[in-house]
Amino acid sequence: MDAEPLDTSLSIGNAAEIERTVSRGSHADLPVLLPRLIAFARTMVGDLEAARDLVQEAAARALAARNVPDDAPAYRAWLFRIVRNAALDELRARNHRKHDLPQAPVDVWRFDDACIAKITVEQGLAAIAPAHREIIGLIDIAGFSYAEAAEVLGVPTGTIMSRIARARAALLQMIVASRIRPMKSSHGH
Amino acid sequence: MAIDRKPDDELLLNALVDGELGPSEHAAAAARLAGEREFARAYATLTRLKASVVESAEAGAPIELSLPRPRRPIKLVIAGTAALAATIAAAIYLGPLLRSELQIAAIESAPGEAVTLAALPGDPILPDLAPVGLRLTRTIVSTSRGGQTLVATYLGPRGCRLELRVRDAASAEMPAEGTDRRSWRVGSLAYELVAFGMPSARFAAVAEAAEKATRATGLPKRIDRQVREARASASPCIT
Repeated sequence: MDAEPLDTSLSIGNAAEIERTVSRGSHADLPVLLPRLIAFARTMVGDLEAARDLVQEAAARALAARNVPDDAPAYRAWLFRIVRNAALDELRARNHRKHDLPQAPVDVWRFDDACIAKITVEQGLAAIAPAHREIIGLIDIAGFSYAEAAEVLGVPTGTIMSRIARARAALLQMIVASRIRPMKSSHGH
Repeated sequence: MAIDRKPDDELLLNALVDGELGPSEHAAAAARLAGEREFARAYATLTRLKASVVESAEAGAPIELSLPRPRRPIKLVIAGTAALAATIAAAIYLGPLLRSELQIAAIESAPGEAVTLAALPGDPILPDLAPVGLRLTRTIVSTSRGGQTLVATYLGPRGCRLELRVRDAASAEMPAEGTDRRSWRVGSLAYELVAFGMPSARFAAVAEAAEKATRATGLPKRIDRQVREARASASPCIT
């Protein structure tokens, strides 16, 4: 791979060449999509540095691709698929252990909302299965509709509906299992 | 107390939280929210969970892009207010060579501070909207026959995008676009905030905050609270 190493800078090579590449076709949307791609990748792999690497790699792949979707929604789904595949490869490379859900099923109808806070959610996200993180990342973090997420994952919309419900239930289970009780804050959200 | 659960209630609740119900389904769900305490409670749980997930993703992933195989690389390292001014200078200096799509800058403005620029007459101010979840990511100076316009792009983690355009009030306006707009003047400068897909209620709150910030640095506490609340309850921005 000949890509520049990542840092917090923007590296610009041959200006005319890159201008032609980025502005050609749907690549013009790439800069706008980067924050969502990074946030999604971070949800998938768990840490920001790895997420940056994944998105960098995905962007390089996208820019090098011969066949690029023409319309914006298809381009967006295509980019997220590239990042998703890269994230799954990364997780496989880490030989990610299987995540065992807590035995006691969570009861969303009687859940103690006081347990839900940024810290418990972060820990819960890190602990749930990658498939659950994936769907939460697409719906809640990347902001996709069910139909758009279905296109990214190549499954029916109804499957997305059930997957997100299961994923949130799993996240609530992990929050319960963590036994962390956030302290009350003087400034709420 | 017995809970009247239906088989697909959890799917329904999740779809409701995600704004995926059609009008008739939404009306039916709203009626249940009003009449069934446990249903409303479960809805609140999922709403809070979703908001916390969104919040957890906002810990600050800077925008960055480096392209493969650079030749004669020009490296722009952007951090803080001084670097923002440098970006503007670079944008002007490199204007004929690098147009808007290439000025993708990783700009980290100082938290809680507005940024003042000297690229246009009248000391234009780019408000720091990070406290309301919008990060200043790119600035360009667009030159046309009508004069120069400073265009600042703000991005949120859920697809929200705003452009703040600042120009000499005497110059011609840029072409209309976006889903919502708000214009105002401060001295000799004309400001225009343009939304791309942001829910109108949230945009109104953000625009009010932005306008106030350009008139007097900093977000008033009342507006800060309003904008945060609007953000928490808003849908993701899909453009």
